[in-house]
Amino acid sequence: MIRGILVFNNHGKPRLSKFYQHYSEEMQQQIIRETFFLVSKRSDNVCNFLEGGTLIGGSDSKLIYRHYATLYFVFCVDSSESELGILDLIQVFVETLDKCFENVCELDLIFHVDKVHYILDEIVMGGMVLETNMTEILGAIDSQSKLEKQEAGLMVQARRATTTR
Amino acid sequence: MFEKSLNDLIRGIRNNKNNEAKFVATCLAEIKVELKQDNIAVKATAVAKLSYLQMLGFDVSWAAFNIIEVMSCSRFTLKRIGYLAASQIFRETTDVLMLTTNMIKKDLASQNPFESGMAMNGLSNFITLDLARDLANDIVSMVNSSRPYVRKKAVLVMYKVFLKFPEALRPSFPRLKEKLEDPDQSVQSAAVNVICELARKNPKNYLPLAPLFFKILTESSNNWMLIKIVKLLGSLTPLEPRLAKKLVEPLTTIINSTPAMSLLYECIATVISGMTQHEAIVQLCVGKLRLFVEDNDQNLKYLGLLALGSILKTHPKPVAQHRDLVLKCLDDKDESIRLRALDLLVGMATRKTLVDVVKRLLSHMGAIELAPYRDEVISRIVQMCSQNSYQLVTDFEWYVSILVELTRVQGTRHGALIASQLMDVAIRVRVVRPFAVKHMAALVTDSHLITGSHEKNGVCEVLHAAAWLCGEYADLLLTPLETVTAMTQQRVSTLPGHILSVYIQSCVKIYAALAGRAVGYERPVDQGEEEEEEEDDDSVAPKLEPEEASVLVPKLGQVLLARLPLFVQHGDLEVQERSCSTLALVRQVSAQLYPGGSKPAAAAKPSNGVNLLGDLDQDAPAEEEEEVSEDEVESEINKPIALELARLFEGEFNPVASKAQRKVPVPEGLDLNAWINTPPAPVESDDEHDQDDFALVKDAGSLVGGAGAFGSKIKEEPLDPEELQRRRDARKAAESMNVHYLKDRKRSDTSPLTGPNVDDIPVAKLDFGLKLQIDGDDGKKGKKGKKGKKTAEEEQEEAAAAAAAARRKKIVVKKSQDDDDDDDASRDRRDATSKALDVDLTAPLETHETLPMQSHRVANSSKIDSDDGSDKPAKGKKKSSSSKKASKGDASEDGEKKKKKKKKASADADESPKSSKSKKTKSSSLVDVAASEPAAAAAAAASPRPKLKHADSAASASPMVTSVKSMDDLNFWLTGDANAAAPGSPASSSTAADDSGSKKKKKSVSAAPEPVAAATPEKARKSSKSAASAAPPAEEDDEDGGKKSKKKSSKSKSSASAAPEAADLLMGDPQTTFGERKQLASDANLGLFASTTVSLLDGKGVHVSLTLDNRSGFDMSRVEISVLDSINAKLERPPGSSSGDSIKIDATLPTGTLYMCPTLSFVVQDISVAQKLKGSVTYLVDTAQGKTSDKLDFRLVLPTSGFVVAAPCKKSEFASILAEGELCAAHQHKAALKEGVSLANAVDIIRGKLHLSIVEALDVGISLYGRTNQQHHVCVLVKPTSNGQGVSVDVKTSQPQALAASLIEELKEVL
Repeated sequence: MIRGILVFNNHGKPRLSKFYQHYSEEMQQQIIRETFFLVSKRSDNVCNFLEGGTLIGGSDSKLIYRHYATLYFVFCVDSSESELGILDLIQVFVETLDKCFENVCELDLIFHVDKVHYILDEIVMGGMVLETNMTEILGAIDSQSKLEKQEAGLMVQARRATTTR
Repeated sequence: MFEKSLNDLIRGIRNNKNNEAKFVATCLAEIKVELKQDNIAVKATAVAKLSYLQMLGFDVSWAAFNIIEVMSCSRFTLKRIGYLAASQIFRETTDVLMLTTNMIKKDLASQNPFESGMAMNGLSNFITLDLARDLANDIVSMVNSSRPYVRKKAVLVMYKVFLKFPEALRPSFPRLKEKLEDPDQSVQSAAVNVICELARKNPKNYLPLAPLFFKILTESSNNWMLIKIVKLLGSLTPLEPRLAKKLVEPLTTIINSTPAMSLLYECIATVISGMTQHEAIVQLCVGKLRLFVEDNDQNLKYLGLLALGSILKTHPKPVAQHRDLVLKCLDDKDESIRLRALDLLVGMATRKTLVDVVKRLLSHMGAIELAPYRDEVISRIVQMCSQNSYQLVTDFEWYVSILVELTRVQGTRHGALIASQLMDVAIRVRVVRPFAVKHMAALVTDSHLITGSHEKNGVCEVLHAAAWLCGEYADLLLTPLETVTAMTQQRVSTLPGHILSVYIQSCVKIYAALAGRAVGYERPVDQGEEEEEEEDDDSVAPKLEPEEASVLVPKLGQVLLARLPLFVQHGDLEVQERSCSTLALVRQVSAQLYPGGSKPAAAAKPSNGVNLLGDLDQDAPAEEEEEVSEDEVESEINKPIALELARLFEGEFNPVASKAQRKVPVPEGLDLNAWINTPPAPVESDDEHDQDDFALVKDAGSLVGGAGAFGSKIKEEPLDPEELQRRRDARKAAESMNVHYLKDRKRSDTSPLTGPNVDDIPVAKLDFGLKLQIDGDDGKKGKKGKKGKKTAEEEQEEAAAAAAAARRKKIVVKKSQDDDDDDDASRDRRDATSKALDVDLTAPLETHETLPMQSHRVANSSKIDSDDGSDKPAKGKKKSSSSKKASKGDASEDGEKKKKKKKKASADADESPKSSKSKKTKSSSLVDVAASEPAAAAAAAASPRPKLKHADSAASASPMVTSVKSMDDLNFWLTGDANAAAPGSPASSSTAADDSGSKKKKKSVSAAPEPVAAATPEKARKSSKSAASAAPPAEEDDEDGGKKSKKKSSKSKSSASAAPEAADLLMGDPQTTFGERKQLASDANLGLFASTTVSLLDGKGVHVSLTLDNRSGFDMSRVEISVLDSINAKLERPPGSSSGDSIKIDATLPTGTLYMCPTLSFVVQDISVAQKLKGSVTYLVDTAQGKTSDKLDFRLVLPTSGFVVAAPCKKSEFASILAEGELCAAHQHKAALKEGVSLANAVDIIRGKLHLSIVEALDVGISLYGRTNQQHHVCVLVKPTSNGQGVSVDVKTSQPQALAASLIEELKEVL
């Protein structure tokens, strides 16, 4: 199981937080802070696995993270997940973001956190890996944005209809 | 249209960095206003903003209702916002969630796959028990959706449903299994994911699926899924060694060929976890791991070391080859890698390499900057050397010097650790002492350790050990004067109190030792080691010559006298006290040591002394020098005083094993529990004051006398009981004659010696000699119990464990430990979910095991618990599959079965095909049990010897044949909720099954733990009627008995029916007795089943849950149940209805479903006779031609035993119940045991029938106890008759007479 997925920047500002088991808001913030503290002091040329997050998961869990430019992507997983597999999964997630936002940067995550959530929901669901094939993921996201646009168009038409009348 | 959008909010927060809180507060206020608007789009925007704020840590759960409003919006875009907010914000306790059931149901069913996907995604985040139960059916049906997108999500969300609503697992598992072979990779992968999670909790239940996993492993090319499959298989291999063997080949292929490091690593991890006995593949893995460690990628390096560490435990040799590599990793810049390497080194060290490795580590430590890591290295060095009682250390002098070297590490926090090691080594290893003491003396004089004394647990702790060792082995101290001077210098006073007190104590010890030395006193050593010691001492340990010592003694005294006053006013009380008393002692002694007062001759001062003094001068301040004036040193030492002083600290510490005390045999005749003297008589009143005085005087005297007598007693021969009795009598007589003795009656109660003879209590004689398959561990527990440590609960557990078969032993023992351990309570709670999910997936689905339909909830919601409860034992007892229904009827009438056995067997045969057919149609319409069941079963039965390869078919067949194991799991699951699981009970039935199985045809079921699936069809083959009689459940007695002999049937029945009882007991819920589910009546359209529940908690009631089985093929409506009240038993009807009213069921019963009627509660006045109630069910069948009404009559029998509940009872309680004479009704029944039925079986039969718990089981008899729901005691003593051929059963009950009689009547039927 994946217990939580955190994205925060180099200063520990949360950009995305997804917990697959319930924590109070206060606890969530604490977890983010602790994770940031643990991860940020590691240099980039050390391994990406970290044991010792006390707040989330407990002894069975590991933090697996990747650092891209200004952002840390941290997955907290238990022993049923493969370490290298999760690293690949983070890569898939980031590549998907890159495709969806066209050269993703931190600002994209800041202003479109909802969209990031929808993308993540196509990759991980309820703490379990849902899809790893990028074409599948992108397909699902595209169809949903089409649906979105369609609805927006309908709304515009409807509004026009009401205004012209 | 002035609302802020989400972007505005985010931008605003970024622009108000200094004033964020205020800005958010205004935003929240705006959001609250927006949420009140009617425009759903505005609301959605507000909700989107809320979910953003939630990420920043604001609690926005107050908006839960508005979120639901947005979720219910018909527009996809807005709905999605709602669901996102819900999945972020909602939690299980969010109460408005119960409003969402229908909305989510609708969304799930949406034509738009993304909408239903969204709903499932939301569910996976906030599912509750209610949602899980209500939506399980919808979700399971979506698993078969035509769109892979929906399918994969449905599969994953199923896991969440199982977590919340474990009952859904069994009915929906076949679907899940199908998905393992889904054409779509993602769906397949999702199914593997779910099963992997499930199997992680309860791997053994998924063992039968191994062939399927194996197939996927060899055929799939999806690395993501392969990783999971390999992980999954890794969790199964420890359970089934042959699976490991099977896996060697494909895993080797993957390891050799895959380019994916992640998959390679998982394969290696699996090999490590369960395939370590296959050398070749382990070698291969170690080779691959070397590549990992050598890789430049830090991740691979880390994982490689991690895996090497796990292999090390089983295969130290191949790993040891890579020592150089691991040592290289110590220099890695990554701390986690260094730590892993350290771990490995600790495990890899051998006698030969230890010195090298430690040397390497020490040099490595010099290069380390970070203190925490340095400390880590220190602790690893110590750990490495001290593991297994210093197994690896060959040279202890080397080790001591290493420890001393470690003290020089800057800023270590392991002072205490090093100190304890030093003391440990010096105390244990005699030869190292001189060396150690030398170094300790150096440490004490070394000043660097004292600095840093303010740090807690700092390196100064080492001084504690150093000083103590110098004092304890002062004989070996060559420079006592120096040492003592160092220990009493001014700066020492900054040390913590506990160290300082050791300092002072050591000073005295040194002084005493020196004085002894001066007169040539040798410290006595242990016998046996003395000779060896002599040699060692002479050759190795140099000591001070007496002459030198005698010179030093007075000097030492002077030093002490001069410096100890420094500490007299120390802040630490212990230091103060010790220094005061030491000072006084030294003053006294030094005055007396040289009574002559003559001045020492200057010539007597040897050159050695000068040197010493010179040293001292350097250390000591000038003031001391004045006081240590030589003219006070005296030449003649007072020998007796010196000896006495030396003897103060005589004796030696020896290492004693922690368990050594237990091995000291208790002297014969010593009874620590017995009174040495009879306890003093209680004071009765003031006017007997004089007598009291006498008594006290007497007691004091007898105490002394008693102690003397006690001492002599020990040497005496063991006393036989008669002798004891004689003495007891003699003493009593003496007491009665003695005028000083108070003779009151009360005393006899308090003193066990004069109390009622223990032998008179019937239960006390009993002993656990019975052949109840108690293994060694249980036996031990039994012993403990006799010592009176056992609680009632444990006793019951033991009773159940006694009935348990060997293969469950471990769990039983483990369980009992859990019970002992209160700390485990919390863990148990955490495990509750996983236990609840521990269900047997191969067993056939019971008819009632369906996913709840929402329409049913009207009836279910209020009584779901009681339904579950009453079902439990029924499931436990039911083991057959196809013939289950047919046999249900039999079970209900098992009273008459003996007479009609043959007849019934044939009747069964007629009935079973029909019922199995009906069951099949039902199950396929309900939950899709593999439709090919009978065929598969037949195939499995026909296959000559199904091996693991064939287990695939066997696995699919097993639902039909019902493996014995599967029943175990089911039982386990049933009791899992109560935390105290009952592994014993199912095991007993499995033994029975094995027994009968092996007896049927003298072909033994292979003793080795066959894979369940494989074993099952084998059994099936044995019985002529294929699946029908595969398992030996109670219900099949007749058929079995008809074909085979009577004894077997009754035996298997007994065990099977006893099992749920034991389960009840183990559950720690003795309050309830469940009757088995029986078929009451049936006709072409309707089957009626009932199970009864009795609870101790509600006096007179008995609850009957009826289940209707609509077999008509049409919908059924207007169902009414009427029961005629008898004098004794009345149905509790809803208020306002009269006694003749029937119970109407509003719902329409679709065909092929089971309907659980609301529980009927009966008030039974007199339980001493069996209650027979008549009733009928009327119903309307809506056929195509029209509606026809029909009526089904039934008779509900509530036997007396049905009211008995197995309540826990301690031996003492049992004895007092018997003694109180409450039990006026007594009946006895003697029955001859049938051949092959042991006493234990008979007891099981009785317990199964009457619901009793075992109080005590001995050779001579077994006492059982139960209580009726009206709180009558039911005590039963089962004894073997004198000829050994039969049993006599005594039933004693409290009022009324008839109770015992009718219980005996019931017993007669089964015995």
